[in-house]
Amino acid sequence: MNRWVAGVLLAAALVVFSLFCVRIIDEREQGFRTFWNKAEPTLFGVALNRPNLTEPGWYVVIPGIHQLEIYPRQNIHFHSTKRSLNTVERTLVDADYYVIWRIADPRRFYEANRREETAVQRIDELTYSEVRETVNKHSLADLLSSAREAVQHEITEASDAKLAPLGIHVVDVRLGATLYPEENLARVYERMRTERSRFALKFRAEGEQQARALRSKADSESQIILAQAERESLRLRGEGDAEAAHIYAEAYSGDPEFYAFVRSMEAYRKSLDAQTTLVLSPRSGFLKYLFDMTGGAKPQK
Amino acid sequence: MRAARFLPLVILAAGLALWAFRGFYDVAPDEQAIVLRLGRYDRTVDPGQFHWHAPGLETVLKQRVTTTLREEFGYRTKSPAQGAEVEEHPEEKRMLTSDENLVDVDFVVQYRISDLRDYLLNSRPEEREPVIRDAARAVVRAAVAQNPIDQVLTARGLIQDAAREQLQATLDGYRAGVRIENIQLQDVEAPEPVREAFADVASAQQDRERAVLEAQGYADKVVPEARGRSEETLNLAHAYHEKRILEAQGETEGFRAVLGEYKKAPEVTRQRLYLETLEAILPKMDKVILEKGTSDQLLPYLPLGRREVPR
Repeated sequence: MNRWVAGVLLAAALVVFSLFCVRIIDEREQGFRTFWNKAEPTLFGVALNRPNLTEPGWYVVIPGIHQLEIYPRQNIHFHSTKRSLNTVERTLVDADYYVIWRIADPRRFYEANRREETAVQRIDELTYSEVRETVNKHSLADLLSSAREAVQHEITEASDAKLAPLGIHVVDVRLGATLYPEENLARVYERMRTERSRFALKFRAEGEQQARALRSKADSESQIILAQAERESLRLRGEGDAEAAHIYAEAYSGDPEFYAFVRSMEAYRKSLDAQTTLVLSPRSGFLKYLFDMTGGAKPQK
Repeated sequence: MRAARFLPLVILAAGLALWAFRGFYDVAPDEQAIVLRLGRYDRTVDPGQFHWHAPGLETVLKQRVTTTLREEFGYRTKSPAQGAEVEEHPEEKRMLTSDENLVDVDFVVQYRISDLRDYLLNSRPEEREPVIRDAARAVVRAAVAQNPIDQVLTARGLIQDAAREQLQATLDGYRAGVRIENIQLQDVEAPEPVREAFADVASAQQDRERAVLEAQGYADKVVPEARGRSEETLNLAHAYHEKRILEAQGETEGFRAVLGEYKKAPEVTRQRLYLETLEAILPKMDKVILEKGTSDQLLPYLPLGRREVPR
């Protein structure tokens, strides 16, 4: 019976103790614990306190003995304001960037910053100087190429190295916008316009060139076709003439004298018309009988 | 007396029962939960009724996971229900391309929670959205910055894919516990002040195509026309060729026939032909008959070449 009561009382005492003196630190948190405001007090060579509570779990935090500072264990996001940066070729660029960071060492973090706002201020200052210096070593072309990744990596590494003593781990620094400043935009637009009008001219000229090539090719083709036809036609006509001449020659060589006669008759028919005045002699063969019935021949009996 | 003895036990049992009862929780169909035991991640719980955890020792964190989340850049849809209302954010659009031109790009990122443990434990709730926004913004700009403007204007698919991959890698680096479903570039266009110049390039390209098409049309017309004319010329020549031969044949055949007759009675035929000819031609003409020998004296007086054409 007494054992029961003692057991129950012990359990109650444990519950009360854990309610007041045990702090559960979950995955999202970490803590810095001190023992009478000392991080690592020792008693006869025995360490009395573990200050960095970076792993989740339950920890004894006795009020009046321990002091506990809780910090986030998660990634923390910082976004910079817009900064004017100079590249290596002195091109002015407006850029902003963001930082993902974590508290890596709660003790150092407490000692260096104590509060998150202080840390943010330092991160702002330090990353800005890293961004400025790194961008200053690179050209704008680097930022506008796959080298941008390397530039960001360089900034991240350098910032991380410098912030590690403050208990801060820089996970990533990335450039957001990189743009020309407002007052340079007019010049950029002018350059873009010039470039575009060059392209437009080029395209139109190309069109003209191709069109001319096509047209002249068609013209030459058609001229060649016509000339070939002309040649063929002349040949055919000539052959026709030759063939005809051959036929005539063959036929007329049978009696050239008679041909001359017949052909002359035909020619007279064609060439002598109403415009012709013909002076005839009564002694011509045609008028032979006009004034002389016998025509000089003896009248027949 | 007997009851009083058991009183502490009853109180203990009642307390335990109460404690145990408080441990029940449910997870809705669109949710998942993770359980932390003494602060340490223990398990992920899928939707269901009557799950149990040990209150005080375990913590349950629930989160909707099935919805696809969406971040818009360069614009905001005011009321997703109506869909039409859009608010412009021009300052988010402007980007530099690799050939140092400016381009305006609107885009939207869709993602969902893929690992609830990472999602809930590695970031602060109020920073989850800003981190994804900042990372997406940086990554899309980096992707655009790696391409010349003509590529950006025409090959948005390439940039989308590159940016999606890069954003996933970046967020995995933060162990953000999200999966990027897609990045979609919406409006990709030249900035307002130079848009006209870009439009002119497009119309110049069309001009080029039109000029070529017109020239092709000309060629398609001129060459067949020439073919047609050549055909015509050849046909005419062919006709002439045949005609000449046929004429010659006709004439010579006629001549042969007359010659045949002539051979039979040469004198008479010759005379007949001669007289027929004169008969045919003389009626039309003026005729002057002169004795031989007088002609020499008279000829100068004849009105040669001054004759009126009889009408």
